[in-house]
Amino acid sequence: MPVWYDAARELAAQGRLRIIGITEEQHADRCRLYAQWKGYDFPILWDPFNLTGSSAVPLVMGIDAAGVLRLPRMDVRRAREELETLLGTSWPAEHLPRLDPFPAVGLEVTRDEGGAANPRVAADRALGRLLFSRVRNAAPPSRELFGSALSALEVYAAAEGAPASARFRLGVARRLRYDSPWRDPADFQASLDDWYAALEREPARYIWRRRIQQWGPRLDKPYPFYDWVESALVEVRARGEEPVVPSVPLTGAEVAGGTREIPRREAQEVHPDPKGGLPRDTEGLVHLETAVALHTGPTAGRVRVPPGTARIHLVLRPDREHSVHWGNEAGPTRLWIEVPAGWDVRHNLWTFPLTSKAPTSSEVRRLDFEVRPPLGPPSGHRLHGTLFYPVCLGDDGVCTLLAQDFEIEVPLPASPSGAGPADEAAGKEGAGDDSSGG
Amino acid sequence: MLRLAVIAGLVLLAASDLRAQAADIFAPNAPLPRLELPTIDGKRSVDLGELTGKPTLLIQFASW
Repeated sequence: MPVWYDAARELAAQGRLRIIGITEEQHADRCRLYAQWKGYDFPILWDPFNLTGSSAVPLVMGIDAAGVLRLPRMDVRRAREELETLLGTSWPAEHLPRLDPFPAVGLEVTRDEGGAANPRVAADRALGRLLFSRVRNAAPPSRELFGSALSALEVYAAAEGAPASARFRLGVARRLRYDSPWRDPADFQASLDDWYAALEREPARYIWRRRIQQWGPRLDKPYPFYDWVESALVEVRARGEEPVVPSVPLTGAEVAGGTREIPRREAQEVHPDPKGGLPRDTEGLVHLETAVALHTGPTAGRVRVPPGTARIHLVLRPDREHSVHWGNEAGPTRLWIEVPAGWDVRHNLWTFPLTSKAPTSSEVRRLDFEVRPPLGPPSGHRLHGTLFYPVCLGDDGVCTLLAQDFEIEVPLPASPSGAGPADEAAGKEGAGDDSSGG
Repeated sequence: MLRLAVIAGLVLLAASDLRAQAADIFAPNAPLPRLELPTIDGKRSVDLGELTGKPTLLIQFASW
């Protein structure tokens, strides 16, 4: 992108060229920060549902003044020559007919195929309502809009003959709701499941794959996704500007880089409550949400790591009705996690990052970490965990240390090729890297 | 007439194949599709099918 912008900005300033960007990201405001940081002054469009159908990015195209696509894959190594070709060529007046997608989402132009009674038409209209809520209503989608849109998308995704993209887009909508005030705690996991199911059907869709890898294990990361955000915030502020602050906090998985290392237990750690004597949080003062982002290798039959290798996400929300606060002076929130025999996890004892220095606080706390089953038949697929947190009821209420036990079931997807993990040579575990996307 | 129809059919077939290679809805030597997308600030939208009047550099990307 920077190369193209450097090559094209002067032409755009002269009025000879229009620059349009399309981002294929889930979160539009992260791209807004990126554009602000880089000083991009051209319109950037948001395509979280992958309506363009592109399977990978970057993809740079040259369109002539008549709106006809003339250079479908411009080469960044020859950026200036490519732009000269686009501007300097007398393109013929003749061209192929326009092949419009139906319905043209957003334009609300639909074929007469039964209107809203047609699941596909209803789903596409639902996408349009979600995507254009801010443009048309100057407001994010409401609870009712999410409810009706997700219903339409679920019906279409489950319909016989529905394309894999219907499932991918359902996942995008679910994640949008998860990041909204109308979140369903199950939305995060459901979106990951939708994306995985879509990718199993069309493994060459790298934009879909990246959506899982964003929250997935480092063993599956082609690169860090949002490690640039912190630098961007600092540099934009240093310029005297108010940066676009991402509305959804970044998880550890989203800033982590890829690795080819197997996570190893670093040291024998001591269970904070080996006899289970601490009182349990029986009143639900802290709500736990979990999600499992699987390694995407098995979708492509490339089982270089055992199926079930995953990044586990934990989200803790203090109960608002009980005015629950973290009692920060009594210590951090911690996790003890036990994995089945033979599984790798870097720690058994984890500490949640502390984001407040106040004596009490009520922020959402997040932690994510990786697990990896053994090569060969796994001994199980359930993780047993216990959370330990000091919480206080009300502003002046009593603080106490509570524990919460939970289980997480890690799915063990089969490889489409039929090659199980035992067939893979030990030591070949890789980052699941591929060079076609991103 | 028949010859014209055959040529048109071949042209459409070629466009379809090329479309599959690039992206589902972008066909070389055809106008951009009528697809409207919002800007990332949610303040307005752009219809790709209306990008006419001067050449356009269209960049699909992600910040990662």
